[in-house]
Amino acid sequence: MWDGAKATFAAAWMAAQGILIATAGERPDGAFGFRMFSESSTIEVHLFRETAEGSRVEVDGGEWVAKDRDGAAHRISWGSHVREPNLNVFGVTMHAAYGAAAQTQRWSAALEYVAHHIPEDVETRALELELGVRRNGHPKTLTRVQVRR
Amino acid sequence: MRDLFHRWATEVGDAFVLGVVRSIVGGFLFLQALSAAGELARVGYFGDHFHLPFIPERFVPSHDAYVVLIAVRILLAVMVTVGHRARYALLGSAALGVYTLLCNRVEFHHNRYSLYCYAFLLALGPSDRAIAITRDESPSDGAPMWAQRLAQAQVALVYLASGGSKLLDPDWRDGVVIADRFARYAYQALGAGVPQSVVDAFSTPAATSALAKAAIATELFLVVGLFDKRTRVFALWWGTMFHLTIEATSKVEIFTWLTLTMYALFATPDVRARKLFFDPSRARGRYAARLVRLFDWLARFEVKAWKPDDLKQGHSIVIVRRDGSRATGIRALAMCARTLPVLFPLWAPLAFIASFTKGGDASARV
Repeated sequence: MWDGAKATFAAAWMAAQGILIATAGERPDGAFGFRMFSESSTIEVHLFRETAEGSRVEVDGGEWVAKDRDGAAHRISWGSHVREPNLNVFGVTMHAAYGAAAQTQRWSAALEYVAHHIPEDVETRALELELGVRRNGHPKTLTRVQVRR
Repeated sequence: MRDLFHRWATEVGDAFVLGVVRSIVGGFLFLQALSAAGELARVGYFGDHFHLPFIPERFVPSHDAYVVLIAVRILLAVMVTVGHRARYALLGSAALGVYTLLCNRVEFHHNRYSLYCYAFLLALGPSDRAIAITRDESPSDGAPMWAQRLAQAQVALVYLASGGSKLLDPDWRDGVVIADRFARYAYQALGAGVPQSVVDAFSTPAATSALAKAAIATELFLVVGLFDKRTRVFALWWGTMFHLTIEATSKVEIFTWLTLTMYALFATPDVRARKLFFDPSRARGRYAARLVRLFDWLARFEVKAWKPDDLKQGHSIVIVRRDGSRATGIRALAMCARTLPVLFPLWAPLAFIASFTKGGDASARV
């Protein structure tokens, strides 16, 4: 009986691992798929904010000053919300850890997070990221991701 | 097939190496948990900042629960290392480790997931029968090997997934990925003293294409080479060199050392099946015996000073292999390199040189 249980468990384990490996391509970061060094890609990110007046301005260094409902000014910092080192540096070409798709997903999710965690800023109508991705040395592609508030 | 399955399910061996591997894996679990604690102290609770869970946010632990979780992970890792209720601790470590990864995919790394997979599989085997302060009193020999074999299969699965995905990716196959890495990081090699001409030679399209194919071939070879008795030692050596090269050129956290630790599971599950006789009247013999005792972490040798008998033929050491054949001089040195983990990188060149001496070193068992 134990032999059968061992075999069933081993088959289930290998099948589960096989499914996770086979479907890793459907996850942007290939998680659970053991795809080591899958890419050599870079990413350069620029942050923009759309103000109440409708102008689109680039945010240098991920920090800007905005007013709250009472008119008090606040210094808003992307880095105080996103602590991951490779998700809070702007205007610098960085290695895209776990690939271009993984970093695009993570930056987009971080944008969503920041846009909804700055109640002290009532002036910014939208935040936008411009992602310059170079996958495996191929020509750079630009992607814009915007989150309206 | 039925016979193969029956042998797999009923195979027994000595669990000593399993105990060694468990203890080292405990060290890795400890380092991972300690690193998480350090990050908590340095950066703060991850849930207070941007994070990206695989699981619904309501299942992510609160700050206080996370602090307790890390403390428990540290405690369990210590228990795994010293061998106190080690199998339960391995199981707990694996479960909490995977749970932690599921709480924030930004913190996901292949080596961490691999570690928890191996911890889980080691928990299924009698890894508490050796190197343990409170151990299973069953004798370490005659231990069931099925979980160890499953852990070996997991090692192969990692290579299959990694090599297979590279093979299916035209950029990888053609060397484009490696070429871009070289182009971006060549300055580091130059800074480390690698001559410009060498960097240039390795950066040509032909060289990067060849290196890519060699890397893919290596990973796919290891999938099968580790399991065939005729190729196992070479596969272990080639894999060791492959991982040491990666370690020297990339940041992969614990992945190199974790994989090399798991390689120990491919050693034949027996203890002190070889004998090393040394001449206690010679300094070289005493020194060699001391070194072997110090570095024989997998208990491959029974080390003895020889009594005057027919072995004593003017040699400082004589190794008696499993099959009873004897090795001296460079062949004995090659045998030591083959069985002592710290000397293992030297095995192939020593064995190559030894092959030109009488008899060489032909046995395929580790």
